[in-house]
Amino acid sequence: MTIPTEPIGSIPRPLPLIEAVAASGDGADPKLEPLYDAAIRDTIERFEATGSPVITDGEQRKYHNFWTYSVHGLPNTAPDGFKIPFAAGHTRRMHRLTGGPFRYKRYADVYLDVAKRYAHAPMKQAIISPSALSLMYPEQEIPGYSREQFINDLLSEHEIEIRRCLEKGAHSVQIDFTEGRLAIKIDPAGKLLHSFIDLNNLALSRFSAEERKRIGVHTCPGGDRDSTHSADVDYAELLPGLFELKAGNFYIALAGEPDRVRVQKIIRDYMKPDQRIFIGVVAPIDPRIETAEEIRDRILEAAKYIPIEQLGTTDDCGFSPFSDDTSTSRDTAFAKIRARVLGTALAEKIIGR
Amino acid sequence: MADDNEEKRLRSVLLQTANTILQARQRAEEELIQAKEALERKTGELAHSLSMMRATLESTTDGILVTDAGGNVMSVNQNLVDMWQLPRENIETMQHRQLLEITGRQFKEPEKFCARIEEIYASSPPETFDLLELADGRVFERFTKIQFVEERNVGRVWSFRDITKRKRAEEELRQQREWFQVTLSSIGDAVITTDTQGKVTFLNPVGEMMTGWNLAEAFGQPLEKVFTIINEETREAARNPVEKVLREGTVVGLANHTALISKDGMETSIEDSAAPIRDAAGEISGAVMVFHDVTERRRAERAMKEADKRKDEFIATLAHELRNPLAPIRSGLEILNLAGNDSVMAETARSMMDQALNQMVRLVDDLLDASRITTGKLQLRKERVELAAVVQSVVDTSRQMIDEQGHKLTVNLPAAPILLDADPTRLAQVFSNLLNNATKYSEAGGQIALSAETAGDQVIVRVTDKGIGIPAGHLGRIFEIFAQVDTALERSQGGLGIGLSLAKGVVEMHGGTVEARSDGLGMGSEFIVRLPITGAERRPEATPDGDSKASAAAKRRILIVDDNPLGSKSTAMVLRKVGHEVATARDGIEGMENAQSFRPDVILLDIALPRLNGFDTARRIRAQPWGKNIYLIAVTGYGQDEDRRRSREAGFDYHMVKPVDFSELKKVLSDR
Repeated sequence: MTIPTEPIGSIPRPLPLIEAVAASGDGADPKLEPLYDAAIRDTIERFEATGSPVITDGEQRKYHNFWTYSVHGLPNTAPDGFKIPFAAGHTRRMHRLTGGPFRYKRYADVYLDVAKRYAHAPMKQAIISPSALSLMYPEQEIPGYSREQFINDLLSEHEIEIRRCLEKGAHSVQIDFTEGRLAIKIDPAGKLLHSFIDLNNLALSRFSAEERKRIGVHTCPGGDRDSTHSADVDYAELLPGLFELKAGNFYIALAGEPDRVRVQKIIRDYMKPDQRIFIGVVAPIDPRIETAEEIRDRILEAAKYIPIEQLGTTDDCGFSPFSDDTSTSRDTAFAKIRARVLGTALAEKIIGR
Repeated sequence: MADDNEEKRLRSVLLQTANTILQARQRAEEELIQAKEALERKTGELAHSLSMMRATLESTTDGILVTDAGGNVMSVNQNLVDMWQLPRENIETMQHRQLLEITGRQFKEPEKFCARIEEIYASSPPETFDLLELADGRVFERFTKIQFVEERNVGRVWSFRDITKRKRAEEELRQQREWFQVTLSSIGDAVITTDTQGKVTFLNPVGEMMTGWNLAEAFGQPLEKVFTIINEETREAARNPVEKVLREGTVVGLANHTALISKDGMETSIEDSAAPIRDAAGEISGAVMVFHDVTERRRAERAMKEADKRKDEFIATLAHELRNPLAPIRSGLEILNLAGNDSVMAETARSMMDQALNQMVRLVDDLLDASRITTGKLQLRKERVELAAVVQSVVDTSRQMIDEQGHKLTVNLPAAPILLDADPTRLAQVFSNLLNNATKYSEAGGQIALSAETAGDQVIVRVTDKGIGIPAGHLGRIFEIFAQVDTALERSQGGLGIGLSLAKGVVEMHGGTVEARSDGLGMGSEFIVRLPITGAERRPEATPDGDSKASAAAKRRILIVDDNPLGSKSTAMVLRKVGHEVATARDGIEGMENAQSFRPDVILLDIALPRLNGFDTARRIRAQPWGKNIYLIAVTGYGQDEDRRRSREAGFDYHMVKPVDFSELKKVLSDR
């Protein structure tokens, strides 16, 4: 029997690339193309070397980060959107919409075009959720472009992006929904979370059941520079609502949870029969490289609560959601990934007996 | 502070966004409810449609199978189940392939049937049509059609129709048509059929031959183009009878004297009739015309008319010719009545009557010979003869007539004897005929030449005269029986016109030929007879029957049995005159009675007798003790070998041909 294992997506960029991008100040500078290309090729080679059955391009080309890649450079945006504070004390700022209509600058399938030149293994593509981008619309209504219009356009653009990735042959499309726990942090009553879930479901409802089997949702406390923005939010407040999302796969950070058993029980209580739960078995923000045996044990533990037919493994988060994050090395990232793959295989052998 | 403001703005944005999302969700839910209601309505309509479809499926007489794109059975109707003897339970949960396992068994070649369905699934044609012949003799038509919904292939409908009865009916109709065509093609007459528009629909082989059109060319053509007819006498176009048939629905025959002009211009005399063809409802569905070639029949009719005409002419001539010798006989009798003791007058009368009688005998003999030649019953008595002897006897016989006409006859024969294998009597008859004609048909004082020469293995005998000649148009018919040149001289000479025909017949029976030549009227004639020569030694002439015993006429008791009283009386007179005792009887029974009472030495017994014919009379006489030694002589008009044989078998001792030749009778009696 097989326990599917997938990465979340991002891999630390090579330092030369980070430095070159920083020096250029423009991630879309054409002069950077050779470096991007080399980074992507190297990432894919190293990914496949880990034995990963499903890989990504390490989001090497996503600038600036997993959240804003699709809108970076839009002429009707300003860089002074809302800030996301992290536990480590730094913040990341979102874009602000200044005018309509809202359209993506780029869809994530462009990354698949490049990656597929080098990849042999199935490719997974991570995209940002519409709920995350919904925070771009400012407090004051934009004249001539209502919030309602923006939401409609946002849903359409999100649907387009998913469809383009699926049509390009992506093994799966993962919606990064790290703002889920943040929503509870901001609105403990849960109304914000539910509005986020509603918004994502408004998009997911546009897909068939078959298509939704290839669509997943990733949730984590939000990792950046070995820090998080909402690790203090109890999963118990998130997970019941999370499983209302009409996705087929859920990628849930678990390795960094203090009480994984409790979380696994919550998962057990609220997961639905047509959902697969990929539990995070390695913690990107932890510099220690887990052993395959540790990971095996985590999987065996999870198998007590989550039916094996609905179980999968993943990383708690991407190793470098923001492109300039150098807190984790590429070597560490691939070593952890390797450990995940081996540990999952060990668990398969035991469970398969 | 700034962070508080930012947090407030963030909350405001989040709240507004949440409200917007809520509204969007509510709209979506509303739309979902509406969609659900619409779906429920559609579902209801669909359910109704499905019910209607189900009812429609069940109402059709065809068997219907509906499969989806994946080959799963979606729907079947009861007719399909019945046609293919399928299990009704769970059929709509089966795959089409499972049904094939049941239906395929009903074919002689199940794999072929299944392969075709696999082909349909693989190639996915929009529509298909196949004819299925099951092992039990049933025949189905199978139609299939892809079902498209919003341009998407959602499956296929398979429709089966049992056409076994129709196929059988078609086969019967085909066989009937074939039988009909074979029959029409086999009959000896030409047959053409047309549709109601007068266009050709059928032409049999005889029709093809006569019209010059083959069926493929003629099919669909207007009848008048294929069947072109004219009036033989006026030469004007005639209307075909089918027009009237189609118009009036009656049977029509062509007018007389119609000729068909074929495609290549050949003209043929025809007779025909046409009739309407009616369908089962009695409506005219076309016309049939039957015609045949009557060219030979018309020719035969014309020949028969001509023959009748010539026969009538001959009878008239015969009557005339027979009257000729009757006149001097009657006159002679009158002279004898008046002669008294004038023996010279009596002798003159007798001589005249004798000549007339001989003339009549010759006429009758010629007629009989002509008949025998025509019917192949003339028999030759061939022997080795010398041509010169035959010619001499002919010249001797004809001399008197030649001299009377003042003609000069030259005879030129080769010095060396020419031997022939011939009947001397008949050969003499031929040359006599030619010589007599030359004599008759030359003006007085004419010149006649008879010559002979050898040419290889033939002898060529020519009889040439400078008489009336023969017109060119008559030369070809000169040897036909009853043919006479219609000239004053010929008419004045009389005759039946059968002499040359007889001569030709006799010469050909000898293996020779005869031809006539003339440069025209008044230019004389030449008749050339060619005969094969034989190289055998000439047999010595048979001596005339002078070796017979010269005997005095012994007195005999002679019974004459003849139903001709004149003949019987005259013969009796002659016999009594020479000293015989004579009795007569008029029929076979009286003959028997008189023979028993009179006990004659000799009986002259006619054959054609009333009450008891001559043969039976002879048998009865021979059966009597007193009749065994009586000399029976059959007297009859028939003298062929077969007649003589019958006479011998009946018990006759001698066979004599009428009229009785008294010198022959005298010899027979004296030999007795």
